[in-house]
Amino acid sequence: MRPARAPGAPPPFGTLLAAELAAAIRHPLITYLAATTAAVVILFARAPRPYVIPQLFAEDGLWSSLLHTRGFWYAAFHGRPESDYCILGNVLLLAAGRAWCALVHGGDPLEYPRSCAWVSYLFYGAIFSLPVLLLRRRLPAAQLLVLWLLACFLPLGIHDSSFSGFEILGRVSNIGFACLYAAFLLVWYRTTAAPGPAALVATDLGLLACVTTNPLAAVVLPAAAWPAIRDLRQGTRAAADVARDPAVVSLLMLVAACAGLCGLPNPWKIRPREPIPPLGAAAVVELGLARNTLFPLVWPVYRHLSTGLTLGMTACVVAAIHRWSLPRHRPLFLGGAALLAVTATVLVVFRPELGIHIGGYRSTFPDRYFYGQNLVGLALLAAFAADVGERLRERGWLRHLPVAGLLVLLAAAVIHEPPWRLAPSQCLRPEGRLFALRAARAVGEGRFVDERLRADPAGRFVSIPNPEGTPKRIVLPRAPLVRALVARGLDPSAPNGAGVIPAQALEPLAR
Amino acid sequence: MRAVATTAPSAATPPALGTDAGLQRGACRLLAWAICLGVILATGSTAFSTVEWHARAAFRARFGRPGEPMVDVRDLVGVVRLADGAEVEQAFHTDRDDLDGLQLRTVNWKTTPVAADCRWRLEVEQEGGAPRRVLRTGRIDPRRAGDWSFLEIGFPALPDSSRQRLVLVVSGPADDPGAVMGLPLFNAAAPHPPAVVRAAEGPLTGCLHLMLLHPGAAP
Repeated sequence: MRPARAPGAPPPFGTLLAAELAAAIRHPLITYLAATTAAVVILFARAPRPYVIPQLFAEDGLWSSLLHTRGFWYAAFHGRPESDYCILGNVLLLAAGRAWCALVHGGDPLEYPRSCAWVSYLFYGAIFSLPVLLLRRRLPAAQLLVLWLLACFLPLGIHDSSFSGFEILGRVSNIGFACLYAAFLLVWYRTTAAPGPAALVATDLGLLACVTTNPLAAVVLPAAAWPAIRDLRQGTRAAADVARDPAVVSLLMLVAACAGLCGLPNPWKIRPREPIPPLGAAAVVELGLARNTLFPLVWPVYRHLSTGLTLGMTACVVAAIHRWSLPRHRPLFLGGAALLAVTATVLVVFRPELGIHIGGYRSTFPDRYFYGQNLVGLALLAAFAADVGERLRERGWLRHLPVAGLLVLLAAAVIHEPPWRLAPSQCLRPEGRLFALRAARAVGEGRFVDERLRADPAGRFVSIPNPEGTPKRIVLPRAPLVRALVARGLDPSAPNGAGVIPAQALEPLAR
Repeated sequence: MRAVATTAPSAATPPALGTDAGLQRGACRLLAWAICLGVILATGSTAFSTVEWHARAAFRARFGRPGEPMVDVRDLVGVVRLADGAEVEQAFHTDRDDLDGLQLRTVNWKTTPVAADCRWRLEVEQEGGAPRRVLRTGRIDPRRAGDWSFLEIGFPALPDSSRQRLVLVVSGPADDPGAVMGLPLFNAAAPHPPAVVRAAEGPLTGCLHLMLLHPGAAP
């Protein structure tokens, strides 16, 4: 029999530790970190190619080259040749990839693409898990869990042979639309949670990062002013009081910072090489409603839709939300609908070429333009499920019906794009596995350039030809690259050094 | 009745920092967080490594041995259907001895080709314009041809392959069995002799997408 504890004495260590462990497990930050870690594994399983066979694809190569040669700020604000908007978030992640590469791989440039892939999975995992952190008091746990899983398994065309599955997860170039989702969640949290000063600053810095990565995210900023506007309209607070509100001051500073950093986006600067005729009414319905808005709900039957069916389903969705949503979520649905309407309008007006790709409900490619809006759609779906569940809470087992519906959608998504099977999209560009070989050959052939990318035998950078697509070359720092090649048993200064290097020596799958 | 405190410490007034109880509580909290973070990190790392191991095996099975490109290719020129006696010849050179296989880019137009009599032969060009000598021959099972993927042809190693000018000849069946495999031709990224095409598609000027295999590759 254990002796009784003296009054005032501290509890035994084991009891104290168990209590602290229980408290830590319930802590939102731990829950969020666990969700992010699980999401990273799920996303990696869905699209492992960028990590297993690293390759700087599309703008990842272009922006990495700028980051290495011209530095962080130049790459962030001049990374897009059209200069239509800045890409702070993308360059931040590439810089994080470089820092991770330095920390874990000793700055080996041949490991840089793999580090960027890892950072990308981490970013997507962190964004997809944001509801777990921000909405835990706004949505029931079941809806929150299903929303997180639905986001992790959102169909992205991974099991098609199109490039959609190749170019989103594990890549940095297409994180912009995830910022739209993040901005939506941050404003949802900001307007409903009355965060304290530290949380407010963190939220607004997050919004700033979102807007300086994807200017479309600015669409959600007016919604952040909604509580102040509501108070003024209802006369519950004086104007002077509202003006002194830290949330309002912080919002004004955020808007000023966004305008100062980004300026006003000018999408007209990007013009297709050949003019594309405006979309017809059917294509507008398909792109704006079916693909942009309804997709998270209708993806299992997407290829069987038509203009009439899409309009009918839209009417049903609007009627259902009007009939069964709760008043506390009405502003959320209005804000979400406005966001989806603006993005649809921008895509229809400024990216009519998308109509050529997805024309006639044949394909979902390019998913990179839509996944952000689809995530917003999923969040609205989860909120709606919570509302319906609440309305049915006196009706026995029926109250579980909304979550059951979401679980069916989730099961279908998992079966549709099973993470345990290697997807066709992951096997595109088989020559991409030769990145290290090309780097070795570039060093052997003396393809050295200066920071302006001019040929220079004494240049500090190596220009690596990239025949797999844009950009046509990737620039990496010379000294660490040569060190990395020597460490792999290659002496680039030997006669014919890199010219006859066996591919096997630099083969990523040979590890 | 046991007099052990069973309520969570957080429910009671927390002991002041600097006291023994406060220090113990702080240490416990630190330890609890370290345990939680450690478990998350360990579980995540193990799961990530397991997925990576499976993915590597799947990619190895899908891509086969690593090869060196005959020449880097760019835009697609056209596709030769291996039917009606179509034949494609591609001359190439390798820097290394012991060539023991080739990977050939194929298409199948997203159908499974039927079993048909497709053959390949590896020839070497002779000095003075003499007829080419056949070094290796074999059959291709078109059912193995994927869409825009590589089909592997293996053969006993050629010990002096770096000193020979080699020609790969691929021919299709004499008739048209319907679902057949195709060989895409591309513009080369560097100067390289184009393939010689004898097929219904007419004159196509481009290179086959070939990967050269040598021993020592990872399984």
